[in-house]
Amino acid sequence: MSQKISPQNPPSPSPGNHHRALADVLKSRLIFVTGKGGTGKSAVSQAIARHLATQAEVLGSGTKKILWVTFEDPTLPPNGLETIAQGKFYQLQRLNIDSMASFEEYIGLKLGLPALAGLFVGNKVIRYLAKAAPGLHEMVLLGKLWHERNHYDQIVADMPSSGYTVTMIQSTQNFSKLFSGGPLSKDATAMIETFLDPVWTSFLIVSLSEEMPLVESLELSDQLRKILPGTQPGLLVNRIYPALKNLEASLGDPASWESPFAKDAKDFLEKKRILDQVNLRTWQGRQYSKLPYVDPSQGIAEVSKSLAQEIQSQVATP
Amino acid sequence: MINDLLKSKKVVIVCGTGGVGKTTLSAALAIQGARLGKNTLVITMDPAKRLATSLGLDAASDSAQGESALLGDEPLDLTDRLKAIDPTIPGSLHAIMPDTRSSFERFFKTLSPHPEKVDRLIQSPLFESFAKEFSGTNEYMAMKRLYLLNESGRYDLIILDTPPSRNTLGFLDAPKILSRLFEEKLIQWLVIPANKILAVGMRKVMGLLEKLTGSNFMTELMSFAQSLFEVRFAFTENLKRVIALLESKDVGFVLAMNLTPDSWAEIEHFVESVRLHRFRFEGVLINRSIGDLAMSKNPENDPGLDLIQKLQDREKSSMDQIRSKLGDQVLARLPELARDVHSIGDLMRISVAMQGQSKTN
Repeated sequence: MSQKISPQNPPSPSPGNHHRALADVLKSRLIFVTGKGGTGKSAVSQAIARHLATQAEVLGSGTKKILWVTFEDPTLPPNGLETIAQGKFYQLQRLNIDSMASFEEYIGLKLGLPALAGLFVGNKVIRYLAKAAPGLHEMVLLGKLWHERNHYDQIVADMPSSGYTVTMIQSTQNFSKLFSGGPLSKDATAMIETFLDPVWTSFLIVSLSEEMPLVESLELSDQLRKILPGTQPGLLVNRIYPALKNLEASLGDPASWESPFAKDAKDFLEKKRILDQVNLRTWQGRQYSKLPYVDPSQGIAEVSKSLAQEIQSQVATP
Repeated sequence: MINDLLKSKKVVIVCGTGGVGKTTLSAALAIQGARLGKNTLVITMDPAKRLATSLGLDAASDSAQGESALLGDEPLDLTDRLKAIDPTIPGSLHAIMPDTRSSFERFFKTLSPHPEKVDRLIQSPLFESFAKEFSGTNEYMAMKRLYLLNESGRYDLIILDTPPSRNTLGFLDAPKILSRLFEEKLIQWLVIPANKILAVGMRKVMGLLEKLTGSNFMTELMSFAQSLFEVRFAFTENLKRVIALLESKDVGFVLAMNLTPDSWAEIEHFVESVRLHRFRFEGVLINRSIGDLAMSKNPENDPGLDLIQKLQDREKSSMDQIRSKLGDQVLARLPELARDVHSIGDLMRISVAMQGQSKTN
């Protein structure tokens, strides 16, 4: 079965490798982990944060501060900060960025006088605008992360799914133009400059070895490269099933299979392995990393610890 | 169970987060509708164009049939393709992928008493980001289009594949979010000439806003607010009609989902939200389940099979909970597929499995 990209979807992903290797992605100060919904961005971003923290332990040079950022997780307090792991040489914290809390914080910062900021933010038209203005919400979320950049050695962000990540950056760019002259415009422009600088910023697109996520990842990569020229997003395939130890007869090409359903668990695993190979042709000629499917029953923290070890071993050996 | 739903409703709205296979399930539901003799339409708002791919509408198969075979802003008749697989199918199948950006422009133009002003507005970067990025516009346009297509009377059954959103409630909450934008009292503050009646406090706040954002933005904002102000009645009227349709007994909401330990919480949240909106919850469609993959009797000490066993155990506890609470509102449970869906043929197999009458293996 050949890889098909819908003709209604021009431009089709640009060929060639515009992608940083995982080890290189992990060197940036701000690491944005994005990708389609359901690909395991949370576990992967947390794993990267854990890897970076424990890496500091290995190197043992001064205390390293790592921040793992989530956006508007309703189960966590708005702008709540907590330490999730600590060692002799590192501190790993989690910050749950909330747009309303960040907006108030930011206005306070910009207007200087807390009383004035209170009057401003409490005003009903401003509250209305803050909620209704397209993109403001998104820019504020990114703005909060950007403001934290000098307080940590590295920040790893569990970004919202593909389209929304693009919106966040696009909004920042829109506002840098819309708010021409004002102090908000200056910050928005500075944010974009930070995101354009590969020393400061890297993107990692998490996918599964399935056709649509793989295609959409390349489209996301192109979109990011369009908004932030020169960006080389890293690519990662998550949740690769382990191959069967004892293979039976070769099953041939997926298109030749009688049905899209698997007969049993063994048949599923074997077909999945073939399908992975076929699907990953979509990324042929590009640099990417793979992570195994880790038993999820112990919860995301445990999954991220296993993945952190895997990342460790992958970036250690060139 | 699926058949009861498809027979009793004129519109089925498929909600769910990204990646659960909502678009594939929607297409399979539509095919099942056609198999039941309905004139069926599936509407997808998926910007990733998954429906086109899963229907096999791609470059290779369409070059011979020209532009008319492309999925787009007008309903595309797929009945022949369906009948090529099974000529006995009594109903029809159509698909549409509305262009939300152009329809949002059109929508503004038809509502506005000054269409020429709308032209200017559309050029504004504020409108650009509004039409493209404002959470709620895609959902609203989907509802509006659904309303019109239902009114046309051409279809017995419409399946709406809702736009991808950050959570399952995105579609349900969209009208509320948009209504807030059209909240008259608030827009008034922005529209009424600044010096006339603005209270001192408000003038001060506006001054601060201008200081922060620059005067250019304030001008853009005022003209944008002016346009919203002009169309507010028409918008509200439209919204009322759309909501009346969604509340009617002809419309059913289903939740498409994968099985995770959080599944029951997700369902509860969804059911409650649907109830608060006075819509009708019809059940859940469980997709990508690996629970039915038979394991070999003898333990084989294989890491892949061990993983599947663990995933199955995890699924089972979640499934038991859902079944005990929802009973026959579990409309279908479909397995994780061994290959990607690229053809109406595979969609048909899924609709057969969905119906639960036979196994295609």
